[in-house]
Amino acid sequence: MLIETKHFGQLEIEEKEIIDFPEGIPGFPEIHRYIPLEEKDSPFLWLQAVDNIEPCFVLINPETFYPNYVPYIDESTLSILRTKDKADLVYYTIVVVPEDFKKMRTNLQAPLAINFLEKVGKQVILNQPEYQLRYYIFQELQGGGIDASANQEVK
Amino acid sequence: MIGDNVEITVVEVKGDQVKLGISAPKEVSVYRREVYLAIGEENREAAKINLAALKMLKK
Repeated sequence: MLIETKHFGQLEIEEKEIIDFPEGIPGFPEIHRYIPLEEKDSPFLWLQAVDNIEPCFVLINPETFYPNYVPYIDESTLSILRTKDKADLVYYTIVVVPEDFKKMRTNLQAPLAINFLEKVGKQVILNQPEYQLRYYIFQELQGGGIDASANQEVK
Repeated sequence: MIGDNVEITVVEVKGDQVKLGISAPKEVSVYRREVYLAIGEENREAAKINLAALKMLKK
């Protein structure tokens, strides 16, 4: 099907690749269908709404810069994601790229858990205080390695 | 009680603060409303991408 995207004009997408978010995501509860769009040589994945031009998110695999990122997923979440096995889930976190791009950050507190086998996803709100709502990543993506101080200073 | 199996108790009252305890089955998600709202706000911020900065970064 042909969709209108926010950043890439009109795109032909495969309907079978569409991921359903049955509850929507906070801030956009009425948008349920998204299509992941990969970009060559990019650490990012785009997540474009299918039935609406907005929103289009930038996602990243948090393991890129945060090794051993292990969200606790409860049973009701697993059932929404139509699996019993956490190994079926892939996690992406939403990236914020503000005007002041040095404050670029990602939301480790609420990853998108996606079951690509069943094409279903949910933004999970974690109760793990080590995973911050605003985890600053600019320096890490610049190849500067982990600079934990940036995450304490920039609030 | 909320429904049959979610129980809310007042744990402590101290000055003008009240501490509540929530006991719920493990399949029920419990989080504060402000946490949910903060995440919605961060998602709305995320939808306004500074595309130029992102392109620069990828080079």
